Amino acid sequence: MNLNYTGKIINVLLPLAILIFLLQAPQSKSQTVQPDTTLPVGFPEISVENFTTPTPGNIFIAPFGAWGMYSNQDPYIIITDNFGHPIYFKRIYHRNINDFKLQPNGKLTYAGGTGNKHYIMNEKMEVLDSLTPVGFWTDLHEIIIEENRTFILGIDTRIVDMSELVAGGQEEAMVMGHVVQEWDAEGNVIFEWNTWDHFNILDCQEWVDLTASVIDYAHINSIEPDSDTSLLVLARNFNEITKIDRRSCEIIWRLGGVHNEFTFTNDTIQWAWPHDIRKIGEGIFTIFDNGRFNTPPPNYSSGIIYQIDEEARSITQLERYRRTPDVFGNIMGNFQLLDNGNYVTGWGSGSYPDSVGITEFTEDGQIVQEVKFNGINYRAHKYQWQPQLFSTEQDTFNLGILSADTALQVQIPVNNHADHEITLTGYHLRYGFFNIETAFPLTIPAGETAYISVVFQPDEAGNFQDALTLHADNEAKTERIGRQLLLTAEALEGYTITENTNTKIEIRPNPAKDFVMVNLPEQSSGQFRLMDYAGRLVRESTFENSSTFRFGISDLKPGFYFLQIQTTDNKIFKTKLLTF
Amino acid sequence: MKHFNQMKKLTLSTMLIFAALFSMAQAQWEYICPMPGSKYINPENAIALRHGEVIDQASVRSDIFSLQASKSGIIQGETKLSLDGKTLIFEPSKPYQLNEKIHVQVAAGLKTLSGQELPAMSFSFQVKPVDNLNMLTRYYLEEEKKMEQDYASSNPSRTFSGISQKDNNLPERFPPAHVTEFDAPTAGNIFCTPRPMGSAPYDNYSAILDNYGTPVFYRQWPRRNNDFKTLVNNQLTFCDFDNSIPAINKYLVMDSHFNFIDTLTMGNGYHVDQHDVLMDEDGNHFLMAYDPQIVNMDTVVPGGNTEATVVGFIVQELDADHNVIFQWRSWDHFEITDANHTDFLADLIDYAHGNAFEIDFDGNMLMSLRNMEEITKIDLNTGEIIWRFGLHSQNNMFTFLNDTVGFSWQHDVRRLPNGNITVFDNGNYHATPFSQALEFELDVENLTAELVWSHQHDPIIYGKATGAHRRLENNNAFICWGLTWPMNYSEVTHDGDLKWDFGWTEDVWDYRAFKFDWTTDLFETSIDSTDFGVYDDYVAWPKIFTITNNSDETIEITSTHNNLNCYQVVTPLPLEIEAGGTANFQFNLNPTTEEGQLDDVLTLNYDSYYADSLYQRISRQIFITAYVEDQNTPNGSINPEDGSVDVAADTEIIMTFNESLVYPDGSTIKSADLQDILIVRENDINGNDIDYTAYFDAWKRTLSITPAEALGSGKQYYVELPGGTFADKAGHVITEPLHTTFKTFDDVAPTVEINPADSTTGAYLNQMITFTFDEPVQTILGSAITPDDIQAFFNLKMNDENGEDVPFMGVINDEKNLVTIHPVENLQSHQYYYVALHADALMDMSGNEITETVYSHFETGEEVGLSEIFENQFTITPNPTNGIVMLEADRDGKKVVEVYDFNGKLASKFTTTENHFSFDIRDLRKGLYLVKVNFDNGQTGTSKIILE
Repeated sequence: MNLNYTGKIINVLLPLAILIFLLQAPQSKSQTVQPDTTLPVGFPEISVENFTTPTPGNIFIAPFGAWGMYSNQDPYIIITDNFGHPIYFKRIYHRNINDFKLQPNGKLTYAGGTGNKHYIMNEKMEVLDSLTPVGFWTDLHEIIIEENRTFILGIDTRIVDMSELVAGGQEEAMVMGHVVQEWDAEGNVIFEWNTWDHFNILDCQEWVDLTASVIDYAHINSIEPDSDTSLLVLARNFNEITKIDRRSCEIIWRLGGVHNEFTFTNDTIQWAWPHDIRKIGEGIFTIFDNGRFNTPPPNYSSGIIYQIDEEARSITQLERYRRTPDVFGNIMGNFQLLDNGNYVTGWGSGSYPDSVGITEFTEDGQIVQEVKFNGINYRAHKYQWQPQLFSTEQDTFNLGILSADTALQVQIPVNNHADHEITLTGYHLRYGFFNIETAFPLTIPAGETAYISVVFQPDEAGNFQDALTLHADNEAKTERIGRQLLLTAEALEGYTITENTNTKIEIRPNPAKDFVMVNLPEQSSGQFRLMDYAGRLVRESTFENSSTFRFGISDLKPGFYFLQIQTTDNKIFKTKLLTF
Repeated sequence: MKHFNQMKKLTLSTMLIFAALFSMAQAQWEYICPMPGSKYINPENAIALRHGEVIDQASVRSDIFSLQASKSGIIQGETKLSLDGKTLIFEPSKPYQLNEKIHVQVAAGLKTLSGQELPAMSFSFQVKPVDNLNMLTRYYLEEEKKMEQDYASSNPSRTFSGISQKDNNLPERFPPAHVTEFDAPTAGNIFCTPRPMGSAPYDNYSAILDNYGTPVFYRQWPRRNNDFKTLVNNQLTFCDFDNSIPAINKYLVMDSHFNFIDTLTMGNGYHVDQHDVLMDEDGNHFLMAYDPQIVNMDTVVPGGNTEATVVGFIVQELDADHNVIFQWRSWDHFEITDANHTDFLADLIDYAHGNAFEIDFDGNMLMSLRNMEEITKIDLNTGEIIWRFGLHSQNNMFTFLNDTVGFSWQHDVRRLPNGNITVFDNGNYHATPFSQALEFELDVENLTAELVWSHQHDPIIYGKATGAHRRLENNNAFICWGLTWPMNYSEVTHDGDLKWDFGWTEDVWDYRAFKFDWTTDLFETSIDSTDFGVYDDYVAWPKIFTITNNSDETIEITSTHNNLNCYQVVTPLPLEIEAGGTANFQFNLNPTTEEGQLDDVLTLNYDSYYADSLYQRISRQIFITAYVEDQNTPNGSINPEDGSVDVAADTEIIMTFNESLVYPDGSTIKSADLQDILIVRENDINGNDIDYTAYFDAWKRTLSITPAEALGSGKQYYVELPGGTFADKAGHVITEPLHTTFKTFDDVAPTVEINPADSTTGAYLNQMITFTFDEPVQTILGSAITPDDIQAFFNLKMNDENGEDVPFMGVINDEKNLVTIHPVENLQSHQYYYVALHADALMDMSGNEITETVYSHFETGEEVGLSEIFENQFTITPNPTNGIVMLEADRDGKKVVEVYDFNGKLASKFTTTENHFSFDIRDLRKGLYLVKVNFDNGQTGTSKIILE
C-alpha cells in the first residue's frame, strides 16, 4: 500500500452509516459558496431557497421544457444534494415525462428516451435493461418494481366511432385506453386490467374533449399496490381512485369521479386533476391534487392525506399541504412522505413561470426547503441514496483537530467499483475551508484505488465541514456520475503542534512486525492513537508519567500507519509507522 | 464507305426487279412471311399471310396451303387465323430440314369478310443452312465478356458505402445503395435490376425502390434479369435470361401481386433477346431476337471471312395467344455493311444490334440499332423502311439543324407525347466518349432534325453500354446511365435541374431503370398518408389504420422501416393477416428531440421467400407528417471525432445532424454544391486541399465525404463545415464551424533512401553516407536511436557484404529521420563499398518495422568532393588541430557546436552567436572527432576534425 500521509493532526472519525450530509452554514464570512463551473451548456439552473432544516438526502428530478414552459430547456435526469449541487446527471433525449426514481427493489428507473421505455439502472448508473408492457405502447407515467413484482402501465388505443356516442364526435377517433399489468419475477404477465373492460368512455370528466381525434379518456397516471390482492389506480381524467382485485380484475370500489361511492368528511374542495396515489399506512393514502378545475376557484395545487374507511365508504381529509402563496401546477406533480414524517411536494408544471418546483414540508406544514429550477418536472423525490460507481471508504472524513495556524493534509482513497477505467474530471466544494491538491482529471483503473489529497489550513478556530463532490463527467458532458462525502475538521486556539523530529519521539523498530516501542523526549502523560492510512482508528490508549511505552501490532495488516500522541500539556506528536 | 453505298444501291435495285418478277397475286397481301425469296429461315417458321382486312373464317379450308420442301417433300400442317382474324397462319406439323427450299402454294378461295376473293399465289424461301443455337450462345457470352472488360476499364478509384438502407433487414447479398442528390424528385417508385459484376458479393434482384432508396419490393432471381417494368393492365414484366443458355430466355409477366401469369417467348424458332418488350391493351406484344448466321463475308467485302458469323436482328409481333402475326428480319431490309465501327473482316459481326423498339403514333415501329447508330422507322404492316435517322448512320435521311455530335451506340428510343424522339446516347464514339440523354424534334416532311434538349451529368458519366432515358409525366427525364458506377440513375428537370441521383455500390450497375407511379395491391392500407398536425402534447399520439390482405394466402407484416425516431410502431410484429382478411395497425407520433416539420415514410414489409429460397419483400408505404415547434439550432457531430487517431485510411467522413438542413435562406442543399463548401485538407486548416466527393443523404441529415483517393498512412487530416453555411427549416443557423482533425492509422514501414544510391559510381572520397527515412524512426525496442545503435545496426564494408569493416561515426538528427555515416578516414579511390541498415533493427513511431536489409553498393571515383552538407556555411581551422579550434560561419544567429567522439558520444558542447568563434577541446583525448554545428534556422552541418 503506497501512500503518503503528512497530516499534522488526526482526530477520529464519526462512524457514519448514512451517506447523506447536512452542512451547517459557513462560519466565516470570508467563506463563500462556490458555483460549479463545469456543468454543460444548457444544464438547468438549480437553486435552493427557504433552507432551514431539510431532511438529509438527495433530490431526484427530471426537469425538461415543453409546451411553452421553459421550452428551450434540455431534459436531464438529475440527482442533486440538498443544496442543489448535481451529484449525478444524464442528458435524456426525450422532452417528456422522465419519471426518475428509486424503486422498492433498490434499482433506479427513468422513463422516456428515444425508445419510449422504462430504463433500469444499478448503483453504478449502468442501464441494465429497458421495460415495456407486453403487447402495448408504454405509458411512461408509472412503473413500480418490487423484488418479485413489477407493475407497469400500457396504452391500448382503439378506433371508436365517437359520432355515435357524442354530438360532434369523430367517426374514426383514436381512443386511448389504459392497461395495468403485473409481472412476476420472470416478467410473465400474471395480471392485466384494461380500462376498455371496466370504464365507460362517457364517464370521463368534462374537461376531456370527446370530439377530438385523439381521446385520452382515462389517463391513468399512478398505480399503488394496496395489498397482496388489491391495487389502487388513479385515473386522472375520471378524477377517480379505483381499487381493483388483483385476482379477479373486478373493481372493489370507486372513489371520486361520476361513480364515487364515498362520503367525504372534512373536505369541501376534494380534488381535480389528481396525481400520485400512495398508500402511506393502513387506511391512509396521499395524492397530489393539481387543483386544475377547483370549485370554488382559485385553482391551486396541494398534497393531501386521507384516511379511508372502506366499510363505511367514507373518506376523511387529514391534512392538505398547500403553500403560501399558492403554487399551481396545471399538469404533473407528486407528493412523497419521507421517513421522518416530512413531505416532499413536486409541483409538476407549477415551477413555471419562475416558481418553486419542490417544497419540503414538515408534518406540521413548515417549509424547510424549496428547490427552483429551469424546467417543469413530472415527479420529485428525496432519497438517502447516491451513485456508487466509485466511493470512498467512509462517507465522512474527520480531519481531526489542529491548531488554527497550521495545515493538515490527508489522502482520501477512492475505489473504482467499475469493471472499466474511470476518470474523475473534477470536484466541487461549497466553501473554501478545504483545498484539493490532487490534479484532475484523475484516472482510476478498473477495480483500483486512487487518492484525493485534501489540505486543511484554517485561519481561525472553529468547526468546519463541507461536502466534497467528486465528478466523473463524460467527455461530451452529457453525463456525470459523482459521489459526495463530508469533510469535517476542528481548529483550536492554543494547541502547540510539535514537529516530529528525531530528537523528539522515536519509535523502534520501524518497520515493525509484532510490537512497537515509543520513546518520548520527556516523561509525560497523555494518549496515543494509531490510525491506518485512511484515518481509521486501529489502536487507542493512554500513558501515565512515562517516557517510553510499548504496544503490540501483530494483528495489524502490513502497511503504513500514523501514530499520534497528545500529551496532557497539549503537545502533539505524530510519526509514521510501517508494519510488515 | 462510298464503295459500300454503291453496292447497297445495286442490291436494292436487284431486289426490286426480283420482286417484280413475282406473281402480281402477292400484291394482294400486305404481309407475307417468310418474305418471298428470303433465306436464313428457321425450320420452325410458320407461314403467315395478311391481306389487311379480316378473313372470312368460312373460307379458310384446310387445303389452302400446300408446302413442297426440297428435301422433306410435302409438308403437312394446320391452318388457323390469328385472334384478330386478319392473319392467316399455317403451322407445319414438323420442322423443315436445314438448308432446304420451301415452295408455298396458296390456293384460291380465300375471302375477306367483306367478300373479296383472294387469288391463288405462290412463293418460296430457303431454310437456314445450319443450326445456330451455339452461335447465339457464343455471341451472348462474348458480349458479356466485353461488358465485363468495359466495366473493369471504367472503374473510378473509389466508391461510397451504402448508407441509405442500413437497419432495414435487407438480405446480406442485396446490394447497398445511396441516394446522393435529393431535391423534390417526382413521386413514384424506381423499377430496377441491379446487376452485380463478376465476383461482386451480391445476388440478382428485381427491385422496386422508393425515392429514398428504400426497397418496397424485391425478389431474388437465380439467373440474370433485365428490363423490370410495368406493362399494360397493371401487369409487370422482366426478362429472365442466361447468356450461356439462351434457349431458356423469356419475358415473364406478373400480375399486381407479383404472381407469374404468362411467359413471353418468340415464335418461329427464335430465342427472345433481353433488350425490350412492348405490349398493348389487347395483349399483342413485340419481342426481339438476335439471329446469327454463317455468311461468306468475302462476297460482301473483299477479304471477308468466308464463314463469318453475322448476327441478324429479328422483331416479332405476337397476339395474346402467342401467334406470330408479324415478323421483321434485318436480313430482308438492311445491309451488313450498314454497321459502323465494325470490322467486316472479323469472324463475328454484329451489324444491327437492335436494342429498343417503340410503337409510333401511326402504329408503325421505331427501332434503335446500336451498331448502325441509327433510329429506323418501319411499316408494321409491310415491314418496309419508312425513314432512317442518325447523324452517324450511313443511311441517315435527315438534316441535323443544330447538332454535330449526334448519338453513338445509343439505347432506348422513345416517342414523347409531343412527338419528339428521345434516346439515351452512350456516346462510345464521340471524340471524347461521354453519355447523354437527347431529345430531337423531327420534321419528317422536310427530313430535318433539331436537337431540342440534351443532358449530361455533372461530373460527366460515360456508360459504355446499356442505359435508358424516359420521361415522367411532368417531362422530367429519368436516366439510367447503364454500364457505369458509382452513379447509376438520375432525375433531371427539363431545365436541367438535377432532382435526384442514385448509385449502387461498387461493382453493381443496371441495364435499365424506370420510375413509375405504381404500387402493388397484394395488400393495402386504409390510408396512404397522414398528417398529425401540430403536436404539443405529452402523450404519444396514436394512429391506427387497417391493412387489407387482397391475396389468396396469409401474409405477415414482418418488419417496418422509417427514418425518424418520433414515429414508432405499436402493433407487435410479425402481424399475420389471413387471406382476404384485415388487421389494425398502430403507430404513434412520439417526438422526443425531433422538432420542425417531421416528414417521414413508414414502410410495411411483408418478407418471405419466393420458391422457398429466394428472398422476397413486398411492401406498402404510408407518408407521414407532423409539426413540432422548432426551438433549437441543429446539432451536428462528425466522425472521425476531433482528435481521433489510428483512423482507417478508407474511413468515410460522416457529419450527422439531428435535423434536416437547408441553406439559411431556406433553399435546398444540393450535394453538388458541397464541393465548394467543405474544407478538406491535409494536416491542418492550413494544409493542402485534397480532392473529395461529398453528398447529403435524401433527408439532408447525413453528410458523407469520401476522399478521391484513400487517405495516407499515419497522416493527419482536417475537415470543416464552415459556420453559417446551413440552417434548419425554421431558420436556426448553425453558426459554429463543425470540424475534426484526425490521424490515420500508420501501417506502413518507413522507406529509406541511401546516398550514394545503390550502383553509384564516382562517389567522392570524403563521401558522407546518409540514410533518409520518410518518417521518424526508433529502434524496434522502442528506444531512441543512439550512436551505439548506429554502430550496431549499420554496416560499412569494403567490396561487399562480406568485406572488411570500414570504421565510421554515425549520428542521427533531431527529427530522427536522417542517419549520417561518417567514415573515419577518406574512402579509397576506385573501390567498391557496401553500406547497409540491418533488417529488423528500426521501426517507425507506430511500430512498423523495416523488415528488409536496406543497402547500397557503390564505387568511389578519385575526387575529394565538396560533399559535406552545408560545408560552405562554416569552416573549422586548423585541421588537424592542437585543441584550439576556430569556427568561421557565414550565417548570423545562434550556433550550437557539438563535438562527438569516435563512438558518437557527445564530448563537448559550445554555444555562440559569433560568426568567428574559438573553442577549446584540448582536454579531449587525441583522435578523430566530428564537429556538428546546429544553426538557429534548424539546419545543421558537420565536419571531421583530428585532434593531435
